[in-house]
Amino acid sequence: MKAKFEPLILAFCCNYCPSCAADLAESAKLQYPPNIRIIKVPCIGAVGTIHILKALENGADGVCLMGCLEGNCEYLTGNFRAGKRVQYVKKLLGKLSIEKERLEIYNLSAAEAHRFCEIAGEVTETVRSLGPIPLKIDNSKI
Amino acid sequence: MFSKVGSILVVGGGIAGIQACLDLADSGYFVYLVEKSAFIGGKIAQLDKTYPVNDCPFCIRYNEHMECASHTNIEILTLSEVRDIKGSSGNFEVTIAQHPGYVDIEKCTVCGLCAERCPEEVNDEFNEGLGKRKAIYLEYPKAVPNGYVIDRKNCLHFTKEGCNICLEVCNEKAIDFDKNEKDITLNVGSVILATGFDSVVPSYCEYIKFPNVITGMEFERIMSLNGPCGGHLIRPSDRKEPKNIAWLQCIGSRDIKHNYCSTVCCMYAVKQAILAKKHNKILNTSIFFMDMRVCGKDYERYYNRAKDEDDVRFVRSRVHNVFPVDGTDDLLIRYADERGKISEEIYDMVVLSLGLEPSQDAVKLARGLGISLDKNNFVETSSFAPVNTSVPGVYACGAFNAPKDISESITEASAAACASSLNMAASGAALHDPLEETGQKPVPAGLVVGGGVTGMVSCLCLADQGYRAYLIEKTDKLGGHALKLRKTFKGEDVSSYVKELINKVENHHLIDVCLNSEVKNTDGYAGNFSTRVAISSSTETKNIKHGVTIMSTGADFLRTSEYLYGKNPNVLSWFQLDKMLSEEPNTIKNANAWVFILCVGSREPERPYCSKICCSSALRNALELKKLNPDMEIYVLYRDMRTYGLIEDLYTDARDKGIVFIRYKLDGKPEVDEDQDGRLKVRILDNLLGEHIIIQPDFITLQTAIVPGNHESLAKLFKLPLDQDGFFREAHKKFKPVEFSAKGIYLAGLVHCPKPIDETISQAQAAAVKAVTVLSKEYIATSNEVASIDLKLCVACLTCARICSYDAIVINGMGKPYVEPAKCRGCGICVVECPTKAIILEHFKNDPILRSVDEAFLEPFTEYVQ
Amino acid sequence: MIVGQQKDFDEIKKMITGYNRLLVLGCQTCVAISFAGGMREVEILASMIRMDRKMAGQDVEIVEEAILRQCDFEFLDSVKDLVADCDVVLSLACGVGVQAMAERYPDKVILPGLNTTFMGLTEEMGVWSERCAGCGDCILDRTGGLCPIARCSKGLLNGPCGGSVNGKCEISPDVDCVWQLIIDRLKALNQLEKLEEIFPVKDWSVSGHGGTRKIIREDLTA
Repeated sequence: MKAKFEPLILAFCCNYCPSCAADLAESAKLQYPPNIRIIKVPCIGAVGTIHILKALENGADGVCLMGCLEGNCEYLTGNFRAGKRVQYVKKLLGKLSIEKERLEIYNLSAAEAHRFCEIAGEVTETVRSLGPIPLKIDNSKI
Repeated sequence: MFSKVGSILVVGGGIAGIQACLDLADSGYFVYLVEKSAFIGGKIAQLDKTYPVNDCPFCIRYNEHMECASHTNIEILTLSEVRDIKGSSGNFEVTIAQHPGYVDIEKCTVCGLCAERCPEEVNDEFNEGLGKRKAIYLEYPKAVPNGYVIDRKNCLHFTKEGCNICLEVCNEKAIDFDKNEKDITLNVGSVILATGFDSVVPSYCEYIKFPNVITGMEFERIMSLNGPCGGHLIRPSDRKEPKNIAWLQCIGSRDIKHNYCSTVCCMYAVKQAILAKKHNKILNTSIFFMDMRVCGKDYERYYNRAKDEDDVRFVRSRVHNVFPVDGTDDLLIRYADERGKISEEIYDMVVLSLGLEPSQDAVKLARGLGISLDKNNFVETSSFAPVNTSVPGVYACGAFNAPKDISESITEASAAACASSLNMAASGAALHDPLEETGQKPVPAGLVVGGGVTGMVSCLCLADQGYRAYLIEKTDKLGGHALKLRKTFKGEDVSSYVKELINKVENHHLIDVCLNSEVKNTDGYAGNFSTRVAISSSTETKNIKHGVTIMSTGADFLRTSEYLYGKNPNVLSWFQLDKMLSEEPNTIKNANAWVFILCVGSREPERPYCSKICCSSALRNALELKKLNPDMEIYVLYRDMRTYGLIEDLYTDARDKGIVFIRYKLDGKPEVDEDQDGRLKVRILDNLLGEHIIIQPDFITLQTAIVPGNHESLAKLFKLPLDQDGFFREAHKKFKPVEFSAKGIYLAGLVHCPKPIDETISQAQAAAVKAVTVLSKEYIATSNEVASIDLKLCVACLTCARICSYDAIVINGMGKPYVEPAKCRGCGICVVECPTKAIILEHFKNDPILRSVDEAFLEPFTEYVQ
Repeated sequence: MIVGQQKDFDEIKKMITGYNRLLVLGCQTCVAISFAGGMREVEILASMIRMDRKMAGQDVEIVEEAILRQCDFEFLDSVKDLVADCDVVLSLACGVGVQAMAERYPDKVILPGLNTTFMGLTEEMGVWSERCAGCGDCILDRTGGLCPIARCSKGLLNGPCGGSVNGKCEISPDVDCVWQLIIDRLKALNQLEKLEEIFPVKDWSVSGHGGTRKIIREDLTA
């Protein structure tokens, strides 16, 4: 019997607002899918193309980036650069015939613990509906 | 216990106390922070969100709480009360009683087992009694100091003898019931009172006993994610979601016993209504108010947003009573509108915007010290020394001086830190050892741009602490717009203050005044700036080296053409009236009627902000005219009477003296005409009568808006952001009011937003103390979180230099990039862009992001494997 | 500097079909600066190839490396062992580097991962444009420092042609007419008279039309 597919999602969270939101969600015991693994980064702009690709290559079914609100980047341009980078990586995924929807970037403020959970749910659902990343399917055949 | 020369005592561990501690500790002083409760942080930890940014205040301040706890120059004494203060400025002897918490914080690992097993459940003050906690407790998960305490009043070990459950379950053996209260004696040079406020529950407010009538703070806890309802907006009686909520303003404010405005309630009610709507989109929210007093930066916008976008209903009425609706938990509100029509409405829940009053313990302490308090027990201060009490060496900040919000309390806290460090410098106190750092020394000088009151105060603060100050003023004299002002709202003489200030500045051996001067360019970083200044009278430019920069270029006033201004000589601006009152009172003395028009150019679609000082300036001048000629008929045409805080006195006084107030709306502005002889006629709709009335005044005074100066070129030069109104944009609207996100540059005064002179002065002092935290360091502080470039791999492609937001990477004479450590903020953006992977962050070696990406998948996801 | 652009992934995929041990070798000079062949791009491309192979259920082993310059034989020796261990080298250098590798390692298949696009400069972060065609006979002294050979779509020496409209080239409104720029600049420099002289027919023999070019400096040779 095949188990119900539970996607594995890696979330890069900027150490400023989004990580606060995540901590707040945790301290308030808000529920969000356990599918999300969080990696805190000094700024969302510090997440490179290679980090996103490696996450997928290593077994993530989806990757999401969470940065501060537009205009609120502690380092002025980090969230803007990350936004452009995500668009670029989506193109690379297209070349690999991997669904672009597996990668997304969000902007949220420190207080938005609910939004954090909402995003976590949203991403999990999107990726769940896409099924396992094609990288894994072949492994399971073997 | 040890004591140190050069120590300062801060009483109160709320947001103001913490800020004062950090500023002083960073300036090199040793600080004792005495806090009555078991944890620092005060009331902000209880707030769900803050206006006007809707941020979580605790999340943002958590770092400061941690810093306060770990700073080597700060000693926190929680569960402590000041018993007595003896001595005088420079040498106070303070006796403190410290109560035991019975848990050794060093040992406590916050595992929570003790609280889990503790049998005694009590009302949780942190949740305003809406939830329960145990007798051994931690206020909230990240409370600082982070360790459990035992509440002796409720602990069964003490009340019923014998309960030792927590003692037995604690694996760390952190609990010790044998601890006793101890007395601590400290010698300090200065004292800062940052004792905050208590909420007023007025005696007439009997309806507060109904379960669904709650206080503003209770509402914060209900909405808060870590509150008793887990962030679900429900009402206390039946835990049902309310469908409509009413906010009642001015409960315990603006009444006979508390004849002042609590300043913060309008904004917090607006905030709560906006946030409540986020919880439940179809919720009906009504705010019952008298005047909407939203005078701070971006507050008016927030209010407009509530009205226009969030559909919050505003009802101009003071509600006198709330009745229970039989058979339900609902509440009936009966109110009269402006025309006197009585209406009744039923609400599921009523939130009371309770007023603020000084904390009772603080009043007792202040009285003991001989500090003058006003009739409402706020500390009596001068507008020109807003944080100085009547006792030398003792300073007060925050809500003990007057009701005020977070950003103003923070500003005042920094101002109090500035004033007390000036006092310490004057009494020759030795600084505590600076923290161990290495590197380059900061240039011991500050550049202050703008020679108004703000700039001059900042200069004096720097110079009196031994730093050189360069004051750059573009006109040919110091003083700025304050030269046009006559009196403060308290009646103090501004002109003599400004004269004295100019005199002090011009004669200070450490202050260089550059008149007719302009900044041409500037470069560098905190601790080491270099700025070129051009003096219009000469072709030469002056190169100034300085460690910090303070922007205090002030603002301007609106040149209006409304209401016949500039056409009819009897239509005056407020400063023309100021001038006439001081120079030629006889020419206006015999006027029969006078009209003041408020909000000229302010709070309009093109300028959606309040100029803050106009209401008080109009009332003070109106009262002065009334004194000159008690028979003069005076009409004040206003939109909301914004006599916030202690200025309310002026409003009461004006009404007592028979000054007539007529409210107008933006779409029904007064119409001003003149006949052939130039006689003025004002036509306005009187809202009380519902009819137009006509006034024929001899003079009209316009309270014209304050508009930002022409800052664009300056902003570009210093790479500083402007806000949408054209004022400078500070680092954080709530918590960093005098800082920019760039280090070493600060702002103060009207460059920030319109404000009266006392707030301007406290900002000037606050900016100066921030500056001193940079200048007082033995070495320029650099973080270890800086980028470093492996020159073996670098091909000098310039990507890093191009991409850095802080210009921290420059190409040196060798054609290679060089990271300026004091400018680098360690964001890591250059690291991922470098095409040859030549850059690493020092604390981030071997790409920990990549490592975490790898490690994230090491643990198998067992929960998914069947 | 030489500006390159990575080949389309499909093309690279086709090229490496059948090879299971790859050395993806970057070049850390010109093409690194144009974000086509530095270590950063090596890692990204290697990761993509691995994923692609994994999806196809095929094995692949990739070694990622980059050297300072692939256009100097001396630098190429440092990867001798890596080259020996792989089936094929996917070089992310310009055409010069790829050929240098092929010459140095005659037994190994060396594949180009880039198209060597032009000689040019970084206009701003992420934008590169052509400036020089390497014609072997520089005329910038006469054209105000702007090269019509590299930058005029027709390579005209006596421009502009009739296709110059409002300062733009007829091939696209996004392309400046370099002859317009030349005229503007000479006017500003007060040297417009330079254009009165007609360019004679250019000697294209030195531009490669006369066969592969080579420079020999006797004073420097061994």
